[in-house]
Amino acid sequence: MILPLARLANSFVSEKYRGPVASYLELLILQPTPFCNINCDYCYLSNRSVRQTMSLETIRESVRMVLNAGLVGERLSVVWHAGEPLVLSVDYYQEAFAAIEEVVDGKCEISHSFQSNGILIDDDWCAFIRKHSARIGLSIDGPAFLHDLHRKTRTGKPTHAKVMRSVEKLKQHSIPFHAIAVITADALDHADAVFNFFQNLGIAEVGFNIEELEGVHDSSSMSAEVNTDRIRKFWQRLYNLHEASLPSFQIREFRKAAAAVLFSQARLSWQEIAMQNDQVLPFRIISVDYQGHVSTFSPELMGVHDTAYNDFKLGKVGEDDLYAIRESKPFRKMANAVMDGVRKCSRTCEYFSVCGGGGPSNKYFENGSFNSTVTMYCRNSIQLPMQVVLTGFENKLRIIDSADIE
Amino acid sequence: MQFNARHLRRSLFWRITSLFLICGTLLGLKVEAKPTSVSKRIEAVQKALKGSPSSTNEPYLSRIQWGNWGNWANWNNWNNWANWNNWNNWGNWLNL
Repeated sequence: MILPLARLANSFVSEKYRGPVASYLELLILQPTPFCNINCDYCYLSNRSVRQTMSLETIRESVRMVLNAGLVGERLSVVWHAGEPLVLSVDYYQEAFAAIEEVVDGKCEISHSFQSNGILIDDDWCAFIRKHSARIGLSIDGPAFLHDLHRKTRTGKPTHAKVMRSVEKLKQHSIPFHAIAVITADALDHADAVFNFFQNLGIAEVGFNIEELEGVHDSSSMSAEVNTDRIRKFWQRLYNLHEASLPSFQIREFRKAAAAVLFSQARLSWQEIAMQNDQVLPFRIISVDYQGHVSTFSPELMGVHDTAYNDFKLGKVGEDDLYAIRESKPFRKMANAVMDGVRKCSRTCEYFSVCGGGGPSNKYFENGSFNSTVTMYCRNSIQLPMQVVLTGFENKLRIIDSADIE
Repeated sequence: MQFNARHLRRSLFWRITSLFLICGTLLGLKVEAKPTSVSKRIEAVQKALKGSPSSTNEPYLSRIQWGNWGNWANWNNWNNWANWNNWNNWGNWLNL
């Protein structure tokens, strides 16, 4: 008698999401177009041949949505991404930026960022970027012999030379930029070449994305277990080179790990630790696709088909506000699964205090469920850099009992 | 009979009150995440850094304080260790 009643009660209760939500928005990701002018073989975007663009009205409604939800404080950070943003004209962004300013109406500062493949940057773009103090990141995989293996045009031609021309343009205009490099198995034995390339590039920071399994990219050169030791050696070599040369640029993974070593606090509840992870806290990152569909958690989920989660389309700008989205069935289902996965991480993962629960999209694509724990991304991009940095601290501080982390 | 009923009521009252007090105390206490080998090592490093001369700390801190992008002033607030710089977050999840 009691058991069926408990189950019935649970079926009502479990429909609700009772976990935390963001009190402020960290990033608003706008997809101006899903189209990309090149065809990298590890790209996760499924609709990168679609040439449609986000309308000005959708841009306005996106900004209205986050402002009306009270998620924006002193600054609204807009990132133009999920396709190649620079395939659209400077004029498009002139109008888009003006539309956002009109909606914001001086209530907060606006910062714009582009993540680009760097093929199309010219003097006009540089003038625009400077005028608006926009931030720009280029996707470069290192020297040409590595970059051109995977980052090719739609007709299969190399792109490195074109990107380097854009780098020169940015330098001529004194525009600071950062880089993001995808590390495939091909690059693992070339840590010196990769490091030297970025050291000479004149950048502020480079982030290394160890090739992942995401979206339509469903096989990775890093999948085989045999690569773990090679990846560890790659990170170790980068760390040694970085330490030895005291370069002017940062390596994102090491900086993050070092910051976590210095400032993280393990003696917190799992919920408090999880709230440091932008990807697991609903609405800390909000993504809007070119049609106005709203998503949250990992931006990589945008454009992924899964009827169980309504293709991760949680609502539509102009039709649904964030309160309605929060009550929607796909959101509740997704948020509960994400938070259950984070809780599992807190119980099982040695690295939870410095990570906060991993990447929901990695869990979904690799493990088939948000409610799961360790992924290749965790091992390669969080745990290994942390091992290298933590051991580095211990060696310098002569902490003797620096046992290996497993 | 009367005594027994009153006694029962009192007894029930105190049992329920005690239960509420215990549950409330337990809920009020923060359940900390379990220490792990990694968190213990980090605590040891933090402890060693605290006791070491500032010259030992500076190389680490200066590495983190690089400021070309501005907006990093919150670096010393541990709550922001993962997100003190907007563009970093943007780079953190990006997979291009």
